[in-house]
Formats: sequence, structure tokens, C-alpha cells
Amino acid sequence: MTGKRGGYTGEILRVDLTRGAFSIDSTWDYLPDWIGGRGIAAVVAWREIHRGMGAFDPEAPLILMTGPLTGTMAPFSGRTTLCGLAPQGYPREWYTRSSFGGHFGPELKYSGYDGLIITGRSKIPVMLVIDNGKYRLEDASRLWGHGIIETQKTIRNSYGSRWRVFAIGPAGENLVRIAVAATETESASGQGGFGAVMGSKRLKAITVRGMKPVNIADPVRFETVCSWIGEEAHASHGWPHTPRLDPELVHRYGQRFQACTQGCPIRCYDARFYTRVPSKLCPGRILSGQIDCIAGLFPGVCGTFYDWNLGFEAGFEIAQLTNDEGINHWELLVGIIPWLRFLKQDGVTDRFDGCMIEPDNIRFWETLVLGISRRTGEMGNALAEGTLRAVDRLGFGKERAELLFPAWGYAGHWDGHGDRINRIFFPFWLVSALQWAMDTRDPISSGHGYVQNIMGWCREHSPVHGLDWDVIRSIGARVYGSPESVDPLGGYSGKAFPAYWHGHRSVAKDSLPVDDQVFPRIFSTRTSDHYARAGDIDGPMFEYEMFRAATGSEWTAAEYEFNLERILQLERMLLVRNFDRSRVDDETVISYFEQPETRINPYIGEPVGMNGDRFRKVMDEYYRLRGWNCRDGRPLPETRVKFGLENV
Amino acid sequence: MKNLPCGTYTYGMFSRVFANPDPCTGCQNCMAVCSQSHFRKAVPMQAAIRVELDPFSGRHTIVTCRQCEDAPCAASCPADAISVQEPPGVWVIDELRCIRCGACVAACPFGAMIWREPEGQPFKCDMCGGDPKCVRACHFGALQCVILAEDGITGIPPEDLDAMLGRGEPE
Repeated sequence: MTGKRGGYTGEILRVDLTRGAFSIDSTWDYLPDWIGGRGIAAVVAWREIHRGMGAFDPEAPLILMTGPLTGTMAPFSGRTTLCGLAPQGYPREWYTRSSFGGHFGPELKYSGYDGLIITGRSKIPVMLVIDNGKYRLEDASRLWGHGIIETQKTIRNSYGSRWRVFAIGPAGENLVRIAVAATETESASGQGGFGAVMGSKRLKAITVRGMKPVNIADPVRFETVCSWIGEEAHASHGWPHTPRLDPELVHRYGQRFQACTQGCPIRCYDARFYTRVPSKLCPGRILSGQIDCIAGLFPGVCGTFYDWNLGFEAGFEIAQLTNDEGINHWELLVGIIPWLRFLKQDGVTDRFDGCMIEPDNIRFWETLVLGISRRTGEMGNALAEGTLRAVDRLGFGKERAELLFPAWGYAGHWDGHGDRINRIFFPFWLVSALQWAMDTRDPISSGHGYVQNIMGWCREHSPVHGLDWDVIRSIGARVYGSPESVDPLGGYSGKAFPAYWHGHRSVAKDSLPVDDQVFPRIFSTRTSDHYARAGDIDGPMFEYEMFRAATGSEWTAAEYEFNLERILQLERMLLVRNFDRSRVDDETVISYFEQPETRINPYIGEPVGMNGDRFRKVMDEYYRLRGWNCRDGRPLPETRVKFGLENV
Repeated sequence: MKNLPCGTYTYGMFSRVFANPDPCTGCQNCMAVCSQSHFRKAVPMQAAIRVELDPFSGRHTIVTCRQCEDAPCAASCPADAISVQEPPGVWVIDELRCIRCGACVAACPFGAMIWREPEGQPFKCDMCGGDPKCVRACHFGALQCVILAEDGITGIPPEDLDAMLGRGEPE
């Protein structure tokens, strides 16, 4: 990166917990080739995660990275990405990532560091304290055994409310493979089981405070671009209509909007804060906390798999208990509970370690959550390994688990199958399936861009503010090169390119980082042609323009895209080198998608299942776009040369 | 005061940023924008507006300069470096006269005067010349630009605001 430097603090702190030693990497050594969060993490992983290394090996690095936009005035940018070997990874503990919001990442940058690379294992529980550039390890024995929220409150009480804390709960301490590490009440690095990695290193918490600046290379352009993009922002999800609070929930429980991450300027569909909810488990106690996205399922919702009736107050309380214990909401709500209900329905068992399986009963949930996080009882201990490993261990419920876990993701998550929660129909879930096939975790984390945009903007789901298919097709042709990519009758045509394009756009969201639900901006109600635009910038270029102004990068848009893809290529090379990732793994998603979809495309009139043979041809197309061998899914030698990855 | 409807109010010849914490979501965009526009970099802890977060109760505290009529910061300044700039009617620090003693920071009863490090100088809200960036950055209506006039709280039509602030006709 020539010229002015901005966006980064310039230092990455390395911590060896075995020796209690610290060292500094210069961020500039990774630049300009690698972009922030997921980019720099990929290089560190390639160099330091060796074949045969396990997620709980002391030398396995846990890489916590912010990006060049974290902590700046860039809208939707306060996120942080955690990367490393994932204990939750199935079938293998492979390399993956999980990002989180809150205010921790920005504070880490204000304390002087772009990221942390944590290795080793401490003899005693420790807390990493970073105070405006100074760092130390403190004995955290007194915090061990405490919940995530309780730990944060304890630390803030003794250090001050300005400190931001990223911590694990009992689940992480007990190496539960579905343990999260989290900050505030609901901002978790949820997938991958990185809470257990922190637990294996005996790192209870990281607490930071800082006053240092983050320089911006081109402040005038940056301020202009950020203002345009902030003002252009529609609702979350990039959708046309603005969400509102529920007057009854406002009145009864103090419902309010709360930013789930620093820098988010809009009303969100997913994030709600409740200031006063009466406790069911401890009558007289009043609870407060945030409910985001999937946690909305706790009370039970209409549908197939989640139609229990726990009620709002009990659901809220269990959500907070789960946040405190540090268990992955997705695994619990979309996996474990439906799976236990199936076991009961099938007559396999009606008990979880002696407790009746009753999803309408708060006591059952309490027993389940504590049983998993504390690893008590046979089933609690088995489910602490994650549902798929529990099935292998317990020897029952496999067929049911396959309904709920399409490979490494969660059924119903913008995939057109499983439950009917997300409104998506054929052929759009083909792109989800392709994203799924190529990933190592549920891909609809930084991959909402395609399905959510199209389904949110079509008239079937947004009758008032949505767009006609002719408009969507013309914009689809502009973005993806083919109107069939976004045509409800487009079938298998034009589906590889959106998965390819959103694949590296997903890398941008984890690297800069910016919010997944908002970017890339494609459709708009505010332009005459309905193509998103702010000032002189087209919607899909918003992230690039903020990146360029913040860092001073002289990359063209094409060079920026090339370097995003380069990160994805290196991640794939790592998967191939260390975990023998191949096309055989990629194709494991097919059998799940071959089932009929759960919503019907009104232009087809009947439910559709995936045609495996036709999908394999779309996979071929994807491999060719990426420069991977269609036979085994590995990057071709010429691809490695093209991206300069022969000697990373 | 939290139930005041949106609009412009009068009380003296000062203008200030009026904060209502109820709709505040804790995004801290106001802080980022303030520091970015004044210092050309992201250093929100040096912003003239401060949102103190409580992510567990969801109740945030917003600290802004009240542009007090009898400003303790100005009264405490031994160099007379803090004076009223009109329009828009705000207390501003004359950096050339400031002797960087920090008395103003100690004198402010609201914690709204900021001490900047490593620069070693005080900083306060200057209302961005009458069009505060933080107010523009808040999409939730938690911040308003208000005029404080002598005849108590009365609404001023928005179209009169520009004239009162001396901004003239928009181009």
C-alpha cells in the first residue's frame, strides 16, 4: 500500500499462554496483499496451523482480528472476526471463522491492536488485560465457573464501565464443542466452538480499554462516503420496509432498538433489547438483555420444528441463561431441541438425563442447558460434543439429525428446506446449496447477500415496497451478468456466478469487516432504476469505497475483488492441505437438498427438490470460475500461480 | 425533559445539542462522526459527545455540552480563552490563548469538557458551526439541535432556524 496509511493500528499482539510471553507482529507486514480480519487470519493460519493439529492442541492459534473499518465512522463496521481450528467442525475439526459484534473490537483498536494471536495453554485460568497499549495476564481463578454476563459485570465493577470484555462461560471452560465466546448480552462468536478453544487455553476473558486513534488515509473522501452510505441505508437485511417495535412488548417489557454492534445506524429486524422481563425461575427478579435473530425462537414459533410453547418470559430467561452459560443458540434451538422432540415422538427416549423432554416447560430447558454446559449426565455429556457427534456417541437418532443438519449447517436457514422460517423458494436456494457445499460452517453468516436480497425485494414477500420481477431481473443482469440468476423460472441457469461472487463478498464482510445483513447493497427504493446508489457510488461498491478511503489503497475495484478471492483461495488450500477437503465433502450437502422444498414457488406451483445431477453441473461451473479441479475440488496449480500463492 | 416533542426550543441566545437517551441504541455513531470531523481520525473517546454504555441494562447516558449561560469552563479559565461565538451562540476555545492548564476540564460539572492526549489540550462542543454532525448521524432522534432563548421554551419554525443561526438561504 503506497502513500498514506490508514485503517489499521499497525500492530497485532501475540500471546503465548504457556510461557506468559508477548510479542508484536507488524500489521504492515501483511499489507497490502491481505485485507484485515479474515485475510490476515488466513495467512497466519496457513503458516501456523499444521496438518494433524487439533482444535484443543495448545499450539493451535486462536486468531481474533478486527479490520480496517472497525472502530471508524464507517456505518455497520464495529465487528470482529475469530478464526481458528473449530472443535464444532464436523466431520473434522477444520479451520473456520465466526464473527461477532458489540463494542469489543473497536475498543481493541483504540487500545492499539488490530488483532490478537493466542497460542499455548496456561497452567491456571487467566485473563488478558489490554489497557491502551499495555498488556498483562492476570489470574482469573476467581472468575472461573462464572457465566459470561456475570464475568463481564464483575470485571466492569472492579475495572470500570469503560472496559469491554470478551469472555467464556462454563460451557467454554468444560470444552463443550458448541461453546461460544461473547461480549455484552448477545454478541457472540457463535459457530465453531471457539469458546471451548479459549477454555482449553484456560483463557477466561480478554478485557480492553483504549484511547488511541485510528488514522484515516483520505478523511475528506471517507467522511463523504460514509455519510452517503449511512443516509442511503434502508432497514437491516437491505430490505425496503422499516421494522417497528411491538407496542405491547414496549409496554410490558420495555422493548427497544439496540445496536448489536458499534456503528450500526438503523432499525434492525433482528436486534431487540428488553429492559424489564420478570423471571420465571426466580420470582421477583427482573431481567434485561438483548434478543437477536435466532434467539427469537426461544418462546416457540409457528412452524414444523420449533412450535413449542415456552412463552415470551420463559423464552427470554432461557435465552439469557444460555448467553451466560455460553452455548450456541443455533445448535440448541435448531438442532438439539427439535432432535430431542423427534426422539420422544419416535419412542426412542422421553427423557434427557432423567428429566422429561418437555419443551413447553422452563425447568426442562434449564436442566438441558446446565446439563450440556456442565457436562452432567450421559446425554448432557454427549450433547456437549454437538448434536452430530452426540449421535455418533449415543448410537441413535441419526436419521432425524440428518433432517436438521445439512452437513455443517442448520436446516431451514435460507435453504428452502427444514422448517419454513425463512421465506425462500426454488430456484433461489440452489445458490444457498452451492455456498453450503463450499463452506466449513453454516454459510448464511456472511452469505445472506443473494437469497435475502431477492426474497426480501420480490412482491411475493414485500407486496407494498417490493419490486416487479422485471426490475429484479434487469438489476440481476447488471450484478450477476445474467437475468436468469434472479429469475423465479431460471432453474439451474446462472446460479454458479452468484455463489462465486457472494463467496468473496462474504470474505469482504468478515475482513473489513461490515455487517452481513446490510451488504452488499443491491436494490433500492430511492433511485429511479431501483439500483442502490449513494452519491457517485453504486450499491455493490459501498464496501470498496469505504475501504479505499480508510486505508489509502490504490487498488482498482477489480484488484480489490481479486484480492478478496485470494483470501478465499488460501482458505481452500489450507482445507485441502490439512484436512483433505475434496469434492466428496462438498457433495455431502446434496442428499439433504434433494428433499422437496418447504415453500412453493408460485410460478411453478408444486414443491421442488434438487436434481443432484443438474446440481453437480452447477458445481462444475463454480469450480471452473474459481479455478479448481472439477474432479477433486482442489485449486489447480495455475490458480495458485495466478493468485501468487505458491510461496505464502 | 425526555418527553419533549421533536422541534426547536428557545431559551437565551445559545444553541446546544439536546440529548434524549430513550431512543439511543448505543451505536456511538455520534462519537465516531464528531471525532472524525474534528480530528480527521477515529478517536471517539475524544469526541465532544459521549455515550456511556450500559449493555446490561440497556440504559445509556449521553453527555453533551450544555452551553451554560454562566459557563463554569469559561469562568475558570485564567487566560480568558473561552468565549461565546455568535452565531451559533456557543462557547468556543481560542486555541491561541489557551494555556493548556486544564482548569476548564476540572470545572465542568457535567464532564463535557474533554482533555485530549497526547495533544495535551482541552476540547469542547462547538456545534460544528451550527449544524452539528452528531445530530445528522443519529437516525433515531436521540439528538437535536436546539436554540436556548430568554423567553422560555417556545417552538421556532424550522425555516426560521437558518436565519437565526446566520446561515442564510440554502444554495
